[in-house]
Amino acid sequence: MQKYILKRIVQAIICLILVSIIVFMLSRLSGDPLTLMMPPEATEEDWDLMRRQLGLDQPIYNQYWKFISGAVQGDFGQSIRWEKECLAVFLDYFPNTLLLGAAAMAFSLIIGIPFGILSAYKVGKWYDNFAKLFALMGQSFPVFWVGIMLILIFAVQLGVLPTSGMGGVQHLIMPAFTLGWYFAAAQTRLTRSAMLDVLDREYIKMARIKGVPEWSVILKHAFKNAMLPVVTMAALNFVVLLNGTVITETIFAWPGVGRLVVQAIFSRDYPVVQTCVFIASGLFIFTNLLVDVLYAYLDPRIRFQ
Amino acid sequence: MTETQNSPAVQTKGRQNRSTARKRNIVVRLRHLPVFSLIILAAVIFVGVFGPYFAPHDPVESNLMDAYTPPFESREYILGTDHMGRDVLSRIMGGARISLIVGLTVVFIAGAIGTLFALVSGFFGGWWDTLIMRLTDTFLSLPYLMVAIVMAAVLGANVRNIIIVLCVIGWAGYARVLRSEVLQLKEADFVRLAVTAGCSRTKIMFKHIFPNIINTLVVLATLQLGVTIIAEASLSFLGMGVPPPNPSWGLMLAQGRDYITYAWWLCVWPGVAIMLTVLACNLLGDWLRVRLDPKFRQI
Repeated sequence: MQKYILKRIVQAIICLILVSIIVFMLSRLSGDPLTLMMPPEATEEDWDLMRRQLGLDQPIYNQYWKFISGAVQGDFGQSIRWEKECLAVFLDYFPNTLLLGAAAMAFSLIIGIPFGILSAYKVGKWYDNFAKLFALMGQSFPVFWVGIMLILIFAVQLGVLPTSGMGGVQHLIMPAFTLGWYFAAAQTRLTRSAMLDVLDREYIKMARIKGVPEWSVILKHAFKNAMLPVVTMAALNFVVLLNGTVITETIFAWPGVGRLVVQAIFSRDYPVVQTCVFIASGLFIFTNLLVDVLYAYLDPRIRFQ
Repeated sequence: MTETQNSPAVQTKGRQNRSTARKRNIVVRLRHLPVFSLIILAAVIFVGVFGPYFAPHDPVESNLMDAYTPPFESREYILGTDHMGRDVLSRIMGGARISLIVGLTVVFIAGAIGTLFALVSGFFGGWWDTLIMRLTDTFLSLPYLMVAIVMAAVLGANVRNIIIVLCVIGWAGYARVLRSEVLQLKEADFVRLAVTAGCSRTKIMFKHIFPNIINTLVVLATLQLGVTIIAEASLSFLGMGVPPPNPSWGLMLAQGRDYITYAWWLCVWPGVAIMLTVLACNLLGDWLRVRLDPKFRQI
C-alpha cells in the first residue's frame, strides 16, 4: 500500500513539474512575453525597466528557476494591473468561485443521483427514458447558451431573477444551474451505470429473497456499494467544475477566478494568468492523487494492478 | 413426384426467398440506424460544403436599413437580421462551415497524434510508456478552457490558431483511452504469433493492433466532434476564436447577448444550431458505441 502511495506521489510531482514548464512557456509562445504586456505608447526606457523588473533579461533557465522556487513558496510575482501579489489577487477571487462551484455541485448531486438511482431501478420505463434524455441534453447544450437562455427567460421576460453580479441567493441560482447542468447529466449517467452494475449482484438477490423492503434494498444495500465510483468521480468533477467556470462567470459577471483570467488576459497581466492556471492544475493533480489513494484504500483490487 | 433440390422451380423460389430475405435484412438494419442524428449531420455537412452557393444573403454584408428585423415576419430574412442588418440564416450557414472545418480538422489531427502516442506507449512499454503517460496526465490536468484562451490570446485569434490550440489540448484524451486498448491487445494470441513469426514491431503496431482499435477510435472521434464544436464556439464567444465579421456560432451568441432585451432571436438560433449538431454527434457516438462493442450497452 505504501509503495502504491509513494508511486502515485512521485507521479503527481512529475506532473506538477511538467505543468509548471507548460505554464511558464505559455506567455513565451510568441517569443518575447513583453510584446504581449507592454502598451503601444511605452518608450525604450519603459521596456528596459519592465524587463529588469520581471527578470526577463536573465537566461531562460534562471527565469524558470525563479518562477518555480517562488511558486513553491507561494510567491508568483507581482500583478501588473492590480499592483499587488498575484497570489493575493487570486485569493480575492477564489472564494467566490468556490461558492459558485459548491452550489453547482450541490445542484448536480441533488438532481443527478436520484435520477440515476430511479433510472437504474426502473430500466426501460418512462423515468429511465426521461433520465437518459436529460443526460443527453445536458451533454449537448453548450454552457453559454443555457446561461443566456436562462437570462432571457427569467431575467428579461419574467423579471424574477437578476441578470448578473453577486449578491444574495437570487444571484446564485442561475449561475449555479448553468454550471451544474452538464455535471448533473454526467452524474445521472454515472450513477445509473454504477447502480445497474450493483443491482445484478448476488447479495441484492439474497436481500430480496430474505424479504428486505425494496427501498432498503435499493438505498441501503445497492446504493452504498455503488456510491464508491459515484463519490470519487464527484470529487474529481468538483475540481473540473471549478476550472470550468470561465464561461459562466463571464456571462453572469460573477467575480470569480474564471472571470479574473479573462480580465487578466485582456489587460495583458500574464503573471496573474500564470498563477491561476498553475494553481488550477495543481488543485486537479492533488485531488486526483487524493481520489486514487482513497480508492486504493477502499478497493484493494486497485492496489495490486 | 417430389421435386429435386436443383429443379428450376425450387431454384427460382430459393432465389426469391434469398432476395426477399436480403431486402428484409436491409430494412431491419435501416430501422436500427440513428435516423435523427444522421439527418442532422448530413444537413450540417451539406450546408457546410454547399452553403455559400445557396445562402439567401452574404453572411458578412451589412444592411443597416434592415437591422433588427424579427424572424418569420419578412420573406427575405426568414430567421431575422442582427444589429448590422446581416441575415441570421446566412450567418448560421456560414458558421456551420467554420464549425465543421475546425471540428473535423481537430478531431483528425488530435486523433492521429493521440493514436500514435497510444500505440507507442502501449506497445513499447517501459520508459516510453512512463514518459508518454506523464505527458498525457499533465495535459489532462490543465484547465482546458483557460489554457485555450491564453494560447489564443498569445498566438492571435484566427481559424488556424484555434485548430492548433484545440489539437494541443485535445490529443491527451485519445491517448489515455486508446492506450488501455493497446495494452489489452498486446497480450492477444495473434500479436504473440506475429512476434514469433518475426514481424517487425512497426508492422505489428500498424497492421495488427491498429485495425483493432479503430472501433474505439471512431466512437471517441464522433463524441469528440461535439466537444470540439462546443470548444470552438466557447472560444469565439469569449472573443478568442474566429475574428469578426466572420460568422461563427459562438461569436453570434456573444454579439447577440448585448441585444437580448429586444432581439431575442440573435441568441436563440445560433444556440439551437450548436445544440442540434452536438446532440446529433452524441447520439451517433452512443449508437456506434453500442453497435461496435456490446460491453457498453448498459451505459
